[in-house]
Amino acid sequence: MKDGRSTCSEVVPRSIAVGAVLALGVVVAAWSDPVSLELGPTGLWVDRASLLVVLLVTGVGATVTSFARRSLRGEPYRDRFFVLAAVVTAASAVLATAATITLLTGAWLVVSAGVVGLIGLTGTPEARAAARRARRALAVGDVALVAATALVLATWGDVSLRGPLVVEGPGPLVLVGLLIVVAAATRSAQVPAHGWLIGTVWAPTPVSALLHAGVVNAGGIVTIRLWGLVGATAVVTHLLLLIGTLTLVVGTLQARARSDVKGSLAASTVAQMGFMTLAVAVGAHAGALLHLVAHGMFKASLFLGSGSAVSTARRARQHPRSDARPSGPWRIAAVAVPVAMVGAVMLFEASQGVLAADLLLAAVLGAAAVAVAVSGLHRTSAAGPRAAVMVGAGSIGGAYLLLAHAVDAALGSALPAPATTAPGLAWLGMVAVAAGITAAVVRGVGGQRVRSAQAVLYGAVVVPRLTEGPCLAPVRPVPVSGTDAAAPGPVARPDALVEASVARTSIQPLGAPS
Amino acid sequence: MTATTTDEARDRTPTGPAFLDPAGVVSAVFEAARPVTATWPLDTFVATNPLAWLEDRHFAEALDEAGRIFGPGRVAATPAEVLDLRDGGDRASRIDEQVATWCRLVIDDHATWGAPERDKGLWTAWRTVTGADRRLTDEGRGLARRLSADPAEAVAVLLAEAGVGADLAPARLRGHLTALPGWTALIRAGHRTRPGVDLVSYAAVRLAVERLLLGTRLLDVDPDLGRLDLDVDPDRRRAPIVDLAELEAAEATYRDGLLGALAHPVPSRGVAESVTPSPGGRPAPAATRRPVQLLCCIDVRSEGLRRHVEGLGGWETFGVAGFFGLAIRLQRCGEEVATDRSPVIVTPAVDAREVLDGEPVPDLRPAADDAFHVAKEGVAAPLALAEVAGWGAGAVAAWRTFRPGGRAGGARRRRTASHLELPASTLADRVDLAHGLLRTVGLTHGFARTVIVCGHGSDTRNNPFAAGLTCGACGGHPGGDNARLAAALLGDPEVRAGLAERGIEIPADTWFVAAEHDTASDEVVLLDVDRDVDPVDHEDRLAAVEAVLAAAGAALRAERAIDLPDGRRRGTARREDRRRRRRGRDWAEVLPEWGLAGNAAMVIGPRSTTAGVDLHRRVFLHSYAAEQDPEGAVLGAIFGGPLVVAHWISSQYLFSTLAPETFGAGTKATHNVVGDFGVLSGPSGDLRRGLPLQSVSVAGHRGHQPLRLLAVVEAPLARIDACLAANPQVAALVDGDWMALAARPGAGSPWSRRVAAGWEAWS
Repeated sequence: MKDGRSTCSEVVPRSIAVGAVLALGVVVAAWSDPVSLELGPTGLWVDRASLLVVLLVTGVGATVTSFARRSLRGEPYRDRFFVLAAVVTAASAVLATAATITLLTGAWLVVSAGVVGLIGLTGTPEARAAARRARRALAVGDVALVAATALVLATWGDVSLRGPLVVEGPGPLVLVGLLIVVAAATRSAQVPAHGWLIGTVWAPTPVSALLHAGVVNAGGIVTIRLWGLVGATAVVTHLLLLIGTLTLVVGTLQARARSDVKGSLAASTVAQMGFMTLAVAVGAHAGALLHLVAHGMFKASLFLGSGSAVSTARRARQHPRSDARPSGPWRIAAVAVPVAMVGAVMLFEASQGVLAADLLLAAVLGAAAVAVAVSGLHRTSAAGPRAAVMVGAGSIGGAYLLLAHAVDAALGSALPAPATTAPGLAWLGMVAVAAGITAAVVRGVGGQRVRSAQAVLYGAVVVPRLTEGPCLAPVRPVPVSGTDAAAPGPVARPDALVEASVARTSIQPLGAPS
Repeated sequence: MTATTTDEARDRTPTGPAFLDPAGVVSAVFEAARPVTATWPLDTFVATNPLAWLEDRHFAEALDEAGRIFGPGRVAATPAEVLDLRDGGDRASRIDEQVATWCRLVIDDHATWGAPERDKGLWTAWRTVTGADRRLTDEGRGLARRLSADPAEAVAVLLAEAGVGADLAPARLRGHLTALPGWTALIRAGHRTRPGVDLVSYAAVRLAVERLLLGTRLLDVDPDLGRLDLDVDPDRRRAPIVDLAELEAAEATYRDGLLGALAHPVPSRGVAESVTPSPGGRPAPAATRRPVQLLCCIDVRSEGLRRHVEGLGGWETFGVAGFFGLAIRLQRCGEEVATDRSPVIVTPAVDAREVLDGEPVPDLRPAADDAFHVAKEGVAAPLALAEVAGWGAGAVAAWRTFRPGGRAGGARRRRTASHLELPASTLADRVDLAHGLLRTVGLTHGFARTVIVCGHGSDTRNNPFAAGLTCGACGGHPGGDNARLAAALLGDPEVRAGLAERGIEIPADTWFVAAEHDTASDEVVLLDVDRDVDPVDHEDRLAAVEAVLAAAGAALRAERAIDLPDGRRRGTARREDRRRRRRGRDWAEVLPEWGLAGNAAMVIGPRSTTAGVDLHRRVFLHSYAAEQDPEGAVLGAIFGGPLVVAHWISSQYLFSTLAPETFGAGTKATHNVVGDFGVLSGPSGDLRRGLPLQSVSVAGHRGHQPLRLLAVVEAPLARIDACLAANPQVAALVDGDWMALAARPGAGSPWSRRVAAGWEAWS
């Protein structure tokens, strides 16, 4: 125990790191042919898609635990963190590779228990309350998944997840699909079960990194792995689409309304998970997988580096953006150039057979490229650098789209094909409208009426609900004081004071029956 | 509001209470916030005494009073707290939660989607949103609408409706304004806040939320909250903030040991060989001219550096507040806004600017930051950003974690040679500044050939409290720039001519060099040496100086490693040293260095008072040559400035250690940076004040030993008495036992202790 070190802190990061290296080794082996590991009636099934997830889980696990060796030094719960982190990491890896639905559900339940333990780690009253809240939310999902598994076992037996799941024969598909959606929605913090995720900010930084990078993805992973059950009915896929879109909107609004570092990161996870669900719903499975892995690494690094916010803000204050409004042609170019470049790549891919994933990804890549190009306009007035930023942003967007397409193709065989029940292209319209409304709200566009609607929305989305006490009308007649003008200090006659306020607001006077 | 006023009010209004009017509300609110010491934003972390408002009282009394207002022993002071105590429940924390949320949403104005009407302040934003909140009943919304748009009027109405008369209003308001001391402190300090973010608006929101949550239950408690019988719940009453007897015993042990050591210094190698104490305390000049003199900050960490360079190089060292008397507002190249490089209590009187000697190297970092920020704050863009940037970010995070210690920052980052100028100052001003610095230090003769002016900074990563580790005297910035300016002034031939007219002759071959001490790695970088090639033999001098600094740094690192968790491992000396140098640049490291932990005393006197004694980096050292200051002007200035600051630092460490949850910032593990001014310990709640837990203690390690400051002065006792008389604030601190004062007129005399009645022998 010298120097505050302990066995756990020595062993856990190393074993997870070894796991990550092993996973990397298996990549080479499993890339051409999936590897199957039989363990009695069940086992593990490693293919290209699950490997990607295992790499994420072990990579983040190893980084976070190594980080925690230093950042949690001296904390009384340090050993418990390492044990729980190891359990959650291992169970998440099993979840991604389980060869049967029973093992998958078992791993899911272990992760749930671990998450609740991690959130309540510090033992402060706030952390314990957040853990209770998470337990309630996750328990709903646990029950739903166990019920779905029971139904599946009763109908089709312990279905094999070696390769894309296919069930044959009749069964309660709608019910099972709905139950799985409920489970996935709670774990991936989808509206209306998104409230528990903000509570993770009460936990230490490494816990937040682990949860936001690894655990919340399980909803998407399970939906993809059980797509044979979820995607079989149109009701379920459309529900998934609706949930995803709503979550994307609410998460984006909450993230834009917060500026505390960890709070906005947590809210933005909600939005990203909504995007992932949306992609799954429209059958862009490879796109969803790619997104959750990249977002996991992104979010882990931002959480771990959240302490640098003060120096970043200091730097930003030293280098404010210029207020000068760039001229019209420049503004048009900043939108047109990146959009044209990303669009061209998308059209090229469309000629190869368009996928929903390409549309979704192209849209957000275009938006990001435009944002960067516009930021360039505010940094410099020189034509060369401005053009370079535009072309650079467009090229990165286009190149990434090509890369994603290649990964799509590589993962194709390991993932279920988009179901015929997937929502048609009409969904694009719905998502676009939702995005437009969100943008309008955030930018504060609109007249007086819209602004008062924004106040309503702001209260509902951002401010915690306040339970009112009884009877809020003016509570009782204020005794008229007998003070005279010579009373010491600043003393007013309360009746006059109250009258003044009543006159302004035309509300019933004090003492009137309420 | 004093008791007299209250009594008078009662006497004259026998039929009922009189109520505050809006003007009365404003003054009552400001008075009610007095117990909360104003805090500075995190990026100019300034040490303050959280009990500063009680400094005119005795220490023990102040602790009692503070314990009744803050922390676990807080006496129920708002209706919600009384109701919770009486009936159980969490009303008080629910009110706090709402109010804290509103503070976060309005004061931190970086959110893209801001609260409606946040530009008009806390109260207007609260009214607007609450008045439209569909989750409330018509009555609830009605409350927000009927209250006046003027927060002071709203407070007056809310207090009146709750039956709180003018006599009870001060106590009620104090209860509210001390419930979330962190937010109150920030609002009170008024840094970077906007119109409508003020204490009155804050009080209005608090009272309105209370009214909304409690409704008529607000009247279930007596207006005076029944304070007589509803004192603090015995279960919640804990041990007092500090056990005074224990504190005094620890202080006695340390102080007796220190003064004993100073009375009989054990000469150490190097120093002993070259020190010839003279009656005035300074080594006799001329006899043996020192190779190098080093001017450091009074910071306790400088003591380590000074001790090692004295031992290794035979240098003479001095201590002075690390802004070197140059209270400047510095405009650096490539930065848009000038920054204050002076103690926050001093308003910079002089504008300084950095001028590049060559072509500027374009810095792409702000543009990259900006692009990242814009993409992150968009609506659809963040979805793509996470995906495109995620792969690289993951790799960088893993690299930083497994291979900690990136590029050095701070002073070593400077890429283009530059110099500092005082554009608006006359020669006389510059001579004044240089003269003031040399006089304060007592360095007026016997100049060495090389004089190093050394500021200090701390190169740490991912650390919201980074500014707390840099130089407080430079306003939370590294001290290198002030050192550069000081060296430039003292090297200026015109200034030297002016100094000579005032009796300070600086030899022509004396070369002033600026430096910066990185206290996380103990590396000392010489600044501007590539541009100033004045002395013909400057390369030889540099080589010699750098060798001593490198050796001293390594020795100091090894010495500090003993106290640092994970400071020592099995490894080759070379590898270990490399690891120690990189410790501050590890983004996972929550304890890059101990900072000023351990500080316990301040010595004001010549270095001969302490020479040869290992003070374990626990003592502020301010040079003072009594024989050069017959009028006591310099001593008075030291009392009024550095001594008070040292007391603040000592108090901050003391209370952050004794009550880490109440006066400290709690553990860094759960910190959530809000805006650029503070941290929360989660997604919401009160803004944290004081030092993080990791700055004062880590389980199983030394950390900070809570002690009050001991000031040790070597000067005639009558002169000290005169300075105390001229500085009533310092006199009150000594008389109220906030700090102790020991003095002796000269090296041979015994130590005396300052007590209320005068002086008594230190025993």
